[in-house]
Amino acid sequence: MSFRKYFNFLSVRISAKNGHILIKGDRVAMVPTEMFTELYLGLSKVMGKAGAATAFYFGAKNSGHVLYDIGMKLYGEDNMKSEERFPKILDELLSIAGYGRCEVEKVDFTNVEVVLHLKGLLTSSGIEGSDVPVCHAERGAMTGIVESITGKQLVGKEVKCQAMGDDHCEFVISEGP
Amino acid sequence: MDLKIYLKIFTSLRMKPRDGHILFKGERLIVTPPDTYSKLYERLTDIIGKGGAASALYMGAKESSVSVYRLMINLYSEEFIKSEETFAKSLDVMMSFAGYGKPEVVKVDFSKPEVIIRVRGFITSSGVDHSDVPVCQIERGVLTGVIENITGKTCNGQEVKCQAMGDDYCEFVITGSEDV
Repeated sequence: MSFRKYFNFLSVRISAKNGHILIKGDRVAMVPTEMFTELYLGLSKVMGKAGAATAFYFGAKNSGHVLYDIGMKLYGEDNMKSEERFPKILDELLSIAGYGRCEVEKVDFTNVEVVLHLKGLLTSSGIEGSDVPVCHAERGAMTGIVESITGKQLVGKEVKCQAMGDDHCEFVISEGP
Repeated sequence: MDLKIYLKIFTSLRMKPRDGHILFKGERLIVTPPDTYSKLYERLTDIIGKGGAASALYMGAKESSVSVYRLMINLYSEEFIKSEETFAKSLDVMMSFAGYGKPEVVKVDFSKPEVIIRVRGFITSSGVDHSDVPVCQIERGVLTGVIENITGKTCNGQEVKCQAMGDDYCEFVITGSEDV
């Protein structure tokens, strides 16, 4: 997709006066992916891996809710909540946000169980040889999206991570524990 | 933002549908809601308190600032950014392009160094109301890191006004570390 087509599709508005970017009325920012990785590593140094993981996960959940709002404006609420259409829409939504490509392995909004495979995610792209999963912001964002769809408070786990040498990052989102 | 630089930016952005990546001159970018910053700050505050969250985000963001500095170099040139006359313009263009808010450079002296920047509608403060302390810790870290990259000197950044505290704008004072 060319950027002109991309901008038109997203109804991107750039306010030079305010220095703001709006997509369908929601404010967004463009951030270098390396900044996310370095911020995670910096926080891990200061407060440990577990503390950084918790902060990023819960902090990013809300951004998942905003991504859902943007998706709803782009595709409609019914399509976002359709188990049949969700995989294609999520893949497109994450691609246009620059997160990477997504395969939905399982989707059940009733029970709730959603399994996602992603390659080339933000955080794991910048880290090698980790002994624990590192994509906590992404885990939070994915969980937030599914929370908005189901209206339930959910738990997201990253069970595979490219930073640990896995072929892809795998997220399992359910009602927990 | 003048039309020439806007067109340069617009035509330099690349989408890679196969990978789901957005690139600007080889630098990978993501589009993220600004709430990510404010919620990260709030969550960290819950875990380690306001002082701890401020230090952790400031230090973490400082280390990450090299990617933002590279973004500025990709928009203009290193010489343009390092010039006191044109620094304000390069910062304005970078921040407007990325949707961070509108900066006003009140003072710039790279030799000391001492730089004062005001920003309206910054990312974190947009998502936090009625704080009794400044909240733009990530932005403070990034701006300080950018000045460190420009001057090659260790700097300290302080946010002395913040819109989340009811001020008209957020104001950052960045100085050489020996001055603080």
